[in-house]
This record gives sequence, C-alpha cells and structure tokens, in this order.
Amino acid sequence: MKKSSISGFERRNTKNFYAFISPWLIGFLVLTVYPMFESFRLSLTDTGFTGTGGYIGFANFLTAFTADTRYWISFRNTLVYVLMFVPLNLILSFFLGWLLSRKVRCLGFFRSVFYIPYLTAGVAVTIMWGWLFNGSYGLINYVLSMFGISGPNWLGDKNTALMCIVLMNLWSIGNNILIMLSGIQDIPQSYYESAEIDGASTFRQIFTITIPLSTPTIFFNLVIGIINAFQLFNQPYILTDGGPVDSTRTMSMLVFQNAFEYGKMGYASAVAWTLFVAIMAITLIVQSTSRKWVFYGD
Amino acid sequence: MWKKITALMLTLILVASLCSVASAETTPLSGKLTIWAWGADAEAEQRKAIIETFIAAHPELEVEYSIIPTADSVWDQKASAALSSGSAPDVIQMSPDYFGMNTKYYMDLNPLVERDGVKLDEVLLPGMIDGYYDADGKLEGFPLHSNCFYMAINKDMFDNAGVAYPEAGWTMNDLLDWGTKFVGGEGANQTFAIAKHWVMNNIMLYAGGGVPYSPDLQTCYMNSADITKSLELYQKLITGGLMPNDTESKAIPSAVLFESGLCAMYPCGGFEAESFLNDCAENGINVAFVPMPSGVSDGKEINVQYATGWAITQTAKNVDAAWEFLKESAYANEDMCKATATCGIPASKAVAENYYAKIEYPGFGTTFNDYMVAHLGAAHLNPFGGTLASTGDIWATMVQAVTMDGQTPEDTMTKYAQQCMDEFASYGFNTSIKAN
Repeated sequence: MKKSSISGFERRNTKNFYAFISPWLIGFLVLTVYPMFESFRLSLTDTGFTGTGGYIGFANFLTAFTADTRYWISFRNTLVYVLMFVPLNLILSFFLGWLLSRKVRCLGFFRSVFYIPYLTAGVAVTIMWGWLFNGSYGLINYVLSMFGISGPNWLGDKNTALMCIVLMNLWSIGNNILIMLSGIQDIPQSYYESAEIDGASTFRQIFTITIPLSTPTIFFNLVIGIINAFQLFNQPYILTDGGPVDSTRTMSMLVFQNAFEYGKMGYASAVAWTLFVAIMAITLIVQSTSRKWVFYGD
Repeated sequence: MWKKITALMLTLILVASLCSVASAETTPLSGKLTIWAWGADAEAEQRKAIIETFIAAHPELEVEYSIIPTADSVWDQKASAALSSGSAPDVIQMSPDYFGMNTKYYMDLNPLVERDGVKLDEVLLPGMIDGYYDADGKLEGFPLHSNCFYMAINKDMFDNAGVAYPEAGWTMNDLLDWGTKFVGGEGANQTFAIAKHWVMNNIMLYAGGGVPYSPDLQTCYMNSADITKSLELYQKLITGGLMPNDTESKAIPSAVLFESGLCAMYPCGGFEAESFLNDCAENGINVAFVPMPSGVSDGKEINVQYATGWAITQTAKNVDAAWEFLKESAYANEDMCKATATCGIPASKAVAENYYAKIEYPGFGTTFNDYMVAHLGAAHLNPFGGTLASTGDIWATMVQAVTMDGQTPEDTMTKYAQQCMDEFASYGFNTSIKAN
C-alpha cells in the first residue's frame, strides 16, 4: 500500500516536472534547436536573398576557408579582440569587485557608479564613444593635447581602432563586477581572520585566499566572456563598419553582411556555424583545464 | 437568299471584331490587388498618396496595401520571407540597385508592354527604364521615381576665397587645384572644400574617367587604370584636407557640415533638396548650384541615380490589375505621378517635364528640378547597390586603404582589384566574366 502511494507521488512529481518545464522546453526546441538545424541545412545550400537555393554540399565552408580573404581577416580580428578583452575584463572586474567588497565609505554609491555603464550601454553610448575618440575634436585627444601629446585618429587608424572597441566594452563591465563581488563576498571571513592572525598581508591574502576561492566565479566570467566576445558586433558595425581597412571586421559582422546585405543566406549560415564550432572548441578547452585551477568548496 | 446570308455573316463578323477590339482596349479590372511598398516619413506619405489615388480611380478593385520600413532590415526580412514562401503580394516595391533584380521571383513585363503597345521611350523620362532590364533583356520592374544629384556650393566661401564658381566640365583635378583655398581651421572649426556625402564613394569611382563594369554586367573594369586614377584623386582629396575622412564624416553629418558653413561644396540629392535648402536658409548659408564634376579622362559628367520602382511577382493573382497599377503609377495616371514628385523625379516624361521641373524652391526657381530632369538620363545607376554590394564593400576598403592607411593606389589595386574581379564573377547573373 505504502509503496504504491510513493510511486503515485513520484509519478505526480514527474508529471509536474514536465508540465512546468514544458513551456521552456517547447520554446527551446522551436526557437533554438529547430533554427540551428535549419541554419545547418542552409549552410549546405546556395540560398540567396529570396530563400531558394540548391544543395552544394560543403562548398560554402570551402569558400570560407580557402577563397574568402575576409573570412580569415574577420576571424583574426575576433580572436585578437577576445585575447585582449577577456583577460582585461577578468582582471579589472576582479579588482573592482574586490575593492567594492572592502568596508569603505559611500560603498553603495561606488557600486552604483560602476554598474550604471552596464545599464546604459547601447547605440547612443557607442556613438558617444565615437565622439570621444574622434581624431580631430574628440575629448580624449583634447585632454592629451593639454599634455603636449598629439593623439592619433583612434578609430581611423587600423592599429588603434580595435583597441578603442576593447576600451569601450571595458567601460561597461558592471555586470561582471557584480558577479565577482558576489563570489568574493561568499568567501567565509574565517579564512581572512586566520590569515591575519598568521600575519599575512592584504596582498598575500588576495593571492592565497581570495583568488583561489573565487575561481568558480572567475571561471564563469571567463566562459561567458569568451562566448560574448566572439560575438562582438554592435560597436564595429556602428562606429567603423568594419574599417578602417577591415581592421575591426568581426565574424558576427561577416555573418550579418553576407546574410542581409549581400543576400548570401547559405554562405552566412556556414560562417555562423564555423563561429559556433570555434566558440564550442575554445569553451571545451577551457572547461577541460578547469579541473586544475577551479576550486569548488573542498 | 445568298445575298441575305452573306450580309448577315458580314455583320456578325463585324460585330465580333468590334467586341474583341473593345475588350483589348478596356479590360475591366476586378478582384483584389495586394501591394507592398517600402518607406518611412516622407516616402511613406508619398506611397500612401499614390496608392490611395489609384484606389479612388478604381472603385471596382479591392486594394490591400502595406508600407513597410526599410530600416533595421525589416523590409528585407519580410520581403524575402514572403517571396520564398510564395505568399508575396501581387505588386512589390523594388529597385534596380537593391535586392530583387536578377531573381526568379519577378514577372517579365516585356510581354505586357508589347501586348499593350506601350512606347516606353515616349511615356517615360530618358534613363528611367534602363536599369530595370537584366542582362538577359528581361524587364524585371517598372519605374516609379528616381533621384540624382546637383552640386551645391557656399557662395560666400567661394567669394571670400576668390574662387570662380565651377562650370560644366570641371574635374576632381580642378578641385585639387582651387579647393585648397577652402582648407583651414582646426578641430570643430576645420573647414573643407567638399563634404563626404555618402554618395562620394560612388562619384569618386567614376572620377578617373572609367566605369566599374560594362552595362551588360559581363565585363568588370575594377582593375583598370581609370580606377587607379580614381583612388589617387580620392587620396589627394582626403590627405590634403579638402574632404573629411571616414571617421570625421561619421562625427558630423555631411549636410550639417555644409549647413554650418564649414564646407564649400555638397552633392545634394533630389530626395533631400527641400529640407537641405530650408536648413541652409535658416543658417544663413548663401547657396548656389553648379554642375556635377566630370571624369578626368573621358570628360563625362558624373552623376548617380537611385531608382525606385515596382515589380509584379510570379505568384501574382491579379496580373491585369497589377500591370494597370504599374502603368498608372509610372505614367498613365497624372495624379499618381504628381503625388510621386514629392520624393523624386516621376517616371512619367510628361509629368517630369511639365510639373516636376516646374516646382520651385524659394530663391532658386525651377533651377534644381530642371537640372534633375535634364541630367537623369546620363546618371549612372547606383553601381554597387543590393546584389553588387559585396563588390562595393571591397571598393570601400580600397578607398580606406588609400585615404586612411596611407597605401599607394597601385599597391591597393594589386591587393584588392582581383578580389573585386572574383567577387563580381561569383554573381549568379554573370555568364562570362572578362577582365579589362
């Protein structure tokens, strides 16, 4: 009697589980899984703007890897951006998160100040940054001129344009700071107290306690940061349109332009899939190394 | 008896032939007609006015229309989804330099033109219909209106610099000569000879005297000496400070630069004339108009036209009504053509010459529109629109290479010209590609 009531309870639980998860599951299947399959199917065709195309096998992928010079330029630019932005993002967000975890005056004010840029990021802010970086009458060059330094044409120079975009995005890392802050605040105070008793300096405490015990948070920010950085689109599209001389053309831009400006839906899908594979590969590599440097609890 | 039978037969034959003539002349329209147009603001108002005029003229038809914005790829997505799913409207907006040309989704209008005996060169303004023929001679669309450019100058800047107003035949070489007198100031007060309007990339393409490809789209000339010359001229204009570079022009819109009195010349499009002249008047800018520049080697005036038209889709359910709409909006309905004139040169030759050309702008009389009508025929269709956009992006990179990266025109041609040739060869409508 008791056994059947438990299994009935479990059955009801299982039904409830699927009932509650079904809206998300249906949405995931219809809006994520199905489009992914359709996109892969498209990548094997020469579908154009009007949606018809014949099967051409992996010709689009071959074109991307061997014939489209812009593909490798875009991939290189995206990779360079990821290698510049992600480490700086982690270091800066950790440092600011640590500062915000200290007991200082007006802490609430500082937390708001660092978070607000994340809320305001968008097209208008990007355009504002374009004005700041303007080579002729931007504020940055004006301030530099006060020190006798002649600033470059930041967004008009292929050597500095991508760096400007890195700086723009570092300005709005408020969300990462908040995540780091919550991870740092989760560290039990007892560790710091013991370290203080043992005579460890603040600097030493950071490297022996804070960083090791924050590695789960750092790992999370690293993975999300890599995924987001690979999909960079807004700033180069709005400010530089991939220029100057293709120096800020990213993979996402290449996908967008091929799909919606050149009408090469099939080819754009192929490029999108190569981007997906690249992100997946790097994420798996980071995941596999995490066992060595990420510490969960004990 | 035989005489009566013969007379009766002749009468019947006569009546039958009269009926067939009547039906060819006036096929009554009926049923439903669906129309999709693109546009926002003034263009949307224009489309609405045109379609409502057609509806008023045809109460026997049930017309359903939508005006869809082009911003944020909204039009692209809706049109491509509808065309590929077979649910496209009977009449769809299109442009010879935008998506749609050289696809299989538009009906060939040649049989309809021949059926109705339409004499295109008599009813349409010269230059209006040419771009709507594809390389195989298929007439993919019918024109609604078009716009080209007229060069505005700041008279006060010219007078103060002691530079004579340019006359027909002036080239970019001439601008390099006297344009330096307009260069001055720094920072927000920097002055230029000519604004970097978004059309300048297209104008400079022809500045060397060449063309990017042949009219039949079968021969690409992007590796020619004329294109090298164009790059050289462009480089000198920007590095010499006569024209803002890409980054500078993004910070201050080119029209604002001219309207603020910071640049001496501005290529004004027909679509922006009214607002441009109003803003100049408000800011006290003394404007005059001079002819567009000419190519260095061929001496031909350079102008670019941006055309808008209509097409009948292959899935159209009411071809007769659709064709009637196309004809009336192009030339057959004077009220519709006059409504078109708010946003560009109407396709109708009669309305363009007798109505549009007579529209006056305060202080300029009919000068502006007269020029538009007279020069449209020789204007190049937007060379790198829609289907050809990928080659246009390579050209934009070439321009940046010489104007922002300090590369020589020769090195730039070596690096990028073949990419243009390869990209051009990849287009589905090219049956054979020959290098110049």
